[in-house]
Amino acid sequence: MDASALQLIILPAGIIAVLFALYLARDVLSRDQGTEAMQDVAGTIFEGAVAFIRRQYTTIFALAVVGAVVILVIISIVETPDVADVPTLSEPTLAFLTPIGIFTAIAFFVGALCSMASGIIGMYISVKSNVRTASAARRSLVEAVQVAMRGGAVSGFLVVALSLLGVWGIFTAYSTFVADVTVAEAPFLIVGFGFGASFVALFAQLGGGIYTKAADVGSDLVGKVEKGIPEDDPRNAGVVADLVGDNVGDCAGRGADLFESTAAENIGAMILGVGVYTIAVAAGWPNPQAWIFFPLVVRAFGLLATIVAIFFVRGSVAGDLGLIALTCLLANLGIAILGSLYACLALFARARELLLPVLFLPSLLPVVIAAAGAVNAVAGGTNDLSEYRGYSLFLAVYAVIFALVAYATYDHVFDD
Amino acid sequence: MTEARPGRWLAVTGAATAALTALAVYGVFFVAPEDADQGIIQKIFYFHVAIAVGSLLAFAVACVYGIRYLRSRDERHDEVSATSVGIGIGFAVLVVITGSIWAKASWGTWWVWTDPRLVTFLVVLLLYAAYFVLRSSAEGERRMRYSAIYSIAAFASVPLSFYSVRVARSFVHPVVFTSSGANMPDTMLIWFAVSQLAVIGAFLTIMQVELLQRRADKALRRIKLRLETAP
Repeated sequence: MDASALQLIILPAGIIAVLFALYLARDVLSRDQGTEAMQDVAGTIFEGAVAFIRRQYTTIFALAVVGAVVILVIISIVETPDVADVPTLSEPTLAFLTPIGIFTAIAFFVGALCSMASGIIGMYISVKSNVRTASAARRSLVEAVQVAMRGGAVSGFLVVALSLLGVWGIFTAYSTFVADVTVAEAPFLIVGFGFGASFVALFAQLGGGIYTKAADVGSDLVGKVEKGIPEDDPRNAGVVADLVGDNVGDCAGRGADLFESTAAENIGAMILGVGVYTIAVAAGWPNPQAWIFFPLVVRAFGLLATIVAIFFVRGSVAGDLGLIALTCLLANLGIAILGSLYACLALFARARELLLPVLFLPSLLPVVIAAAGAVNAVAGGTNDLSEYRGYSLFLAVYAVIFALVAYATYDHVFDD
Repeated sequence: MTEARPGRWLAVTGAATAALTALAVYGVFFVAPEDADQGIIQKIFYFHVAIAVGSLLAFAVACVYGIRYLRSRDERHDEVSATSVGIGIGFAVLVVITGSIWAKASWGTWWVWTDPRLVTFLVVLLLYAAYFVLRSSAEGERRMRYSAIYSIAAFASVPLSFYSVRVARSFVHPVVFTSSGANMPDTMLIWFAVSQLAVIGAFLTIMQVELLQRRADKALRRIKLRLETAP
């Protein structure tokens, strides 16, 4: 089969991911919302989050329009035919405005809009799935994990799929429907898409982040210090504001940020692909444009693979989470101590990138074996506490022994 | 032990090792009783286990001399430590080879990935193979310092590697020495002790030969340098 046929997978993969996200969203939304009181609190948080998002995104939208105009003007002035990546498009057409400036500004604006949409979708679903997760947690841990996982997966899939479809769509639009733009030139015109996405993500993260911190500190000051009631108490109105902040800052902001990251990564990789394209054309390799599409093909396969992987998260047997967390802590302690010691050894040696894993892996295997054994003992269905204790003790002893070795030898590491 | 004047006891240890080895081979094959269950192949036990103990002893010596190096910064201690790791790796490879032969004869396969002791021994072998990777990627005084630190850390993880899988598992591998005493008749034990002494003798002999060679190498380089810089 011709390798370039793989690029046909991009559009179906994106659409399948969107449909799968809709299926997950329907599944999450159809679940039980808990008691009257829970719905009441969740409703208040939702109301606050929507109000904040509306206000914030109105401002960001205005700023995005300004940003697009600024980009249009600056690129038209600065990108003269002798410096532009796409010289044919840098001749002024409308007054002093050049096509390359117009295309970049449009891409910027579309990127900003998609990023906003991702943020809003992420926030909406997370607010809705939070109360359902809390409600499921009253019944079973397994169900709570499933609802939380699926609620998170909705925004994960939508954001990445929209990013893929957005980049692919605007790329295809520019390279097919605009005359005189070749496949190799289009990536330079859609740089604005990534920039627009970053622009919105920056404001969404900052605005939400500042809001959530202010609400958190404010509600703690009033509740804990002035009124003497515990943290996160429902009697404190500031707590609702704090939770609104968590949703708009961490969910909407993170959604926009994820969108921005995947879009910018794809476009950056496509521009690198143009470099290979020129080599491929010069060398006469078949299907040179496949190199430019390659990052999008990889992302498309990533989406499909993730859909398959989601079904593995069943949480059919979830053991005692406290014991598992303790195992992780002990194992991490051992890894951190040994890692620090060996990293210091590798730091001043030649070929340190290669050296560190060679030193680290054999010494680390006992930790991996014991951690796996401990988790298996409490979560593998047997629930063998004596075996768990044995492995945990082993992990603790490991950490202590290497802490002593590291303490004794550390002076000698930096003894130059 | 040997750092003052390597080779002083070479004739003695060499002769003793040769005698002990000859005695061990004679005793193991002609005097010690044949194993009722496994037959002649069980004879490999006397060498397999003795060499395994020898390799762990060599790693212990490397660790002790690593500590001594860090305290004294005496180059000769570093030489003993590095040589000891080298001999230990050699012994460890022999252990894997003799073990595989024994496994092929008694279990019908060269290697069993599910047996913890086999896999952990391989891990220890890799652990010490990394010693020379580290050693070759640093220079001069730093090389000795890092080697010493690694020889200590690696030796600390040897028992940990073995115990990580012994916490709760059953074994294919026979366990001969238990905490309640050796699981074999006295005549076997005597010949095992002889072959263990032969392995330790071999360790001491190889150590001295290697150290002598290093010293000679260094002296040669010094002379060469003096000749080149001489007018």
